[in-house]
Amino acid sequence: MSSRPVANCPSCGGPVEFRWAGAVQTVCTYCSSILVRHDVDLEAVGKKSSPPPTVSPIRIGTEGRYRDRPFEVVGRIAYEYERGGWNEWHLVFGDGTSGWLSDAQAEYAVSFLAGDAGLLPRANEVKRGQRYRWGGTEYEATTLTRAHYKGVEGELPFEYWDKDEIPFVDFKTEGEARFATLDFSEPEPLLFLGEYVDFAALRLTGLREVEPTRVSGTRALNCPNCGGGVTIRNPEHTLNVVCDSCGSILDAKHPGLQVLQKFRAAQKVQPLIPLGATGKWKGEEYQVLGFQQRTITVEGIAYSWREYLLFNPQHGFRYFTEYDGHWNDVIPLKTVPREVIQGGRPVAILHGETFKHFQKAKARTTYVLGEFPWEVRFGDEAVTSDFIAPPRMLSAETTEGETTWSLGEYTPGQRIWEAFKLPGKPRAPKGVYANQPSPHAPRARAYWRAFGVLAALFVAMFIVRIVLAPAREVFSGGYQYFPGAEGGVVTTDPFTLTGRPAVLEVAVRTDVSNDWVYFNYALINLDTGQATEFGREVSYYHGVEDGESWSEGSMEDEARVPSVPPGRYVLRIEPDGPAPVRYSLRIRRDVPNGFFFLMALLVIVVPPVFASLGAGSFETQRWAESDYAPEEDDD
Amino acid sequence: MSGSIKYLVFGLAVLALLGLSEYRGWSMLRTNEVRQVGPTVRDNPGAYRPHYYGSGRYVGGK
Repeated sequence: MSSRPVANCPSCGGPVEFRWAGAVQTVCTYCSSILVRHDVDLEAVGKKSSPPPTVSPIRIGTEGRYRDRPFEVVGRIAYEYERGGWNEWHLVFGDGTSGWLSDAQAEYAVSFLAGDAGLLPRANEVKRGQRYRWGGTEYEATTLTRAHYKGVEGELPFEYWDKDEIPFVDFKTEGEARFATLDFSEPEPLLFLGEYVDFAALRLTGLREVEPTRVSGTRALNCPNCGGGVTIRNPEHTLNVVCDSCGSILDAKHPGLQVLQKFRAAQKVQPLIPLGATGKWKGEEYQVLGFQQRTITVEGIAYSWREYLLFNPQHGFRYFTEYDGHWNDVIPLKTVPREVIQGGRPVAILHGETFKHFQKAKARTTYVLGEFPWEVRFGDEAVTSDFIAPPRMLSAETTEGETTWSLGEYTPGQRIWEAFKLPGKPRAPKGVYANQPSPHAPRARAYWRAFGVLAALFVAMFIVRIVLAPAREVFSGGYQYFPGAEGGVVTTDPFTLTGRPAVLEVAVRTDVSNDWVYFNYALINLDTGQATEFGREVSYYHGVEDGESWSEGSMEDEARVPSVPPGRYVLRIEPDGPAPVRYSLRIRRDVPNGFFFLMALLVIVVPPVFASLGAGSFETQRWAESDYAPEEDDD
Repeated sequence: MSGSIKYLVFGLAVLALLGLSEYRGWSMLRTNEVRQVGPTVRDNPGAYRPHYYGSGRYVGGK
């Protein structure tokens, strides 16, 4: 592009071309001198830039699109902090504006300087977890970092050659994956607002040729501690690698591997998925790079789980975690959930889904193997806080300056075995895991749904039965019984039953009081001479005891004679009892049997009740491992 | 067939049984049948006695 400003390097005389008219600083591509621009007169500031080897496919000259706006990468600042590093790529857009593409361990974000952010907090005023509102969006401080620039290349919008250690604060949001950074490299804080982006969505062209991370990208070196062979499968992103032989943690960026930490684990832990194993997971190919065992101690008992670090060049890192045969597929989150108290317990809300707090503990790294894109150490500690909404689990890990959130999903081990073509079978899970989906809960829900349908049918049938049932009265009369008196036996007038065989209800109403009477009935078919005998007692007792009234029994009774065929009938009644009783009799045919409806409902409610009991038992086992386990009775 | 479908089928079977019981007039009442009672029983009420005459009542309480 001939319109771009061109000058000569004051150090070596080589041509220096500016891709961006607004560039304040650049680096001579011939002698690596850092040049500060005064219009197009360049001043060599006496520093040589030695940017670290890039660990990114992006390079100066890479072009892409962000929200349909074309841009070109014109510069880079490489930062390094205590346990890692990242790149800030300086972007120049077609309209002359500039922005930044952050590139940290295959996680990408685009941001822009917010010029009108108002009064910004000082570095020492910001605490992790504090929230600020900028541009109508609430941001939560998640990471407090002190970093220094490792090197610069290309064009930058400001002078950046003499910076010392700089505080940064990174912020995330609850909803969309937006982020903010407070940069304290200038006397006044600078606020950058932006969002996380997918690598593919940037549609980058002119990328650096990245060697395949597997096979040809592998570096084979020797451990400086024990001389054992050390393989680095992903040299571009790996900061630390662990010697398989002696367990020393080595600096993978050091040409000859430098021992960072020696440790001897009490017991060697064998990963269930071999390091270097590759498999297709959720449509993308991942390779297992690292392995660590982490341990929490609760009431003096150590509980350890294992984490497998997986890497895909485009999609970054994810983890498999395993505890007692229970597996989770875990991805780091680019947003933060909202933590509130509900029903007296903490919950975290992420994208509208509520996660109940399960357990808080201090996790310690007790074993490491393989390689990691950040610095790991044996004995590293972090406070972990888990929230569950089975089959998902939200986990917060908090260290001194950072809180990171991750989202795990309970995954059958068999799926992992199939995806990574592992021999044999995964070991069977033991017990109930925090976010293990209950096999009983969906079944109980399905049963109760079906019960709702059945209950509605039962009620509808009962209503139809009541509406349509004739319940025709075929006889009624009143009588009196005297003990020992002749004539206590009575026979009704004949009555005729028609239609199909149906139930016959014999209802009696008496005046017994603190007494009883027993009725011997005989329903006699006058056509066939067949008699059906049955007996019923009516007893009613009542009184006042200790100032409270009580009663037992009833003055009434109903008996249902089953399947009485049509015909002419009489009912013979022979009362028996100690006292005179007056009673009235009513006989009805084809009366709905509410007792059967009730019994049927009780029968069909049994399966859902048992399914719910199973679900409840499962939940009891789940929560027994949490901070909210019911206290055991020592007695 | 999933458990809930089996359960639904079971429930419908219970419903059908309930419908049948209502149609046929079933009842839980325990009865005894006696054949060939003379048709004159109405005319002579005392002539007929149930086979199991006597109180079925439990008299051990009040």
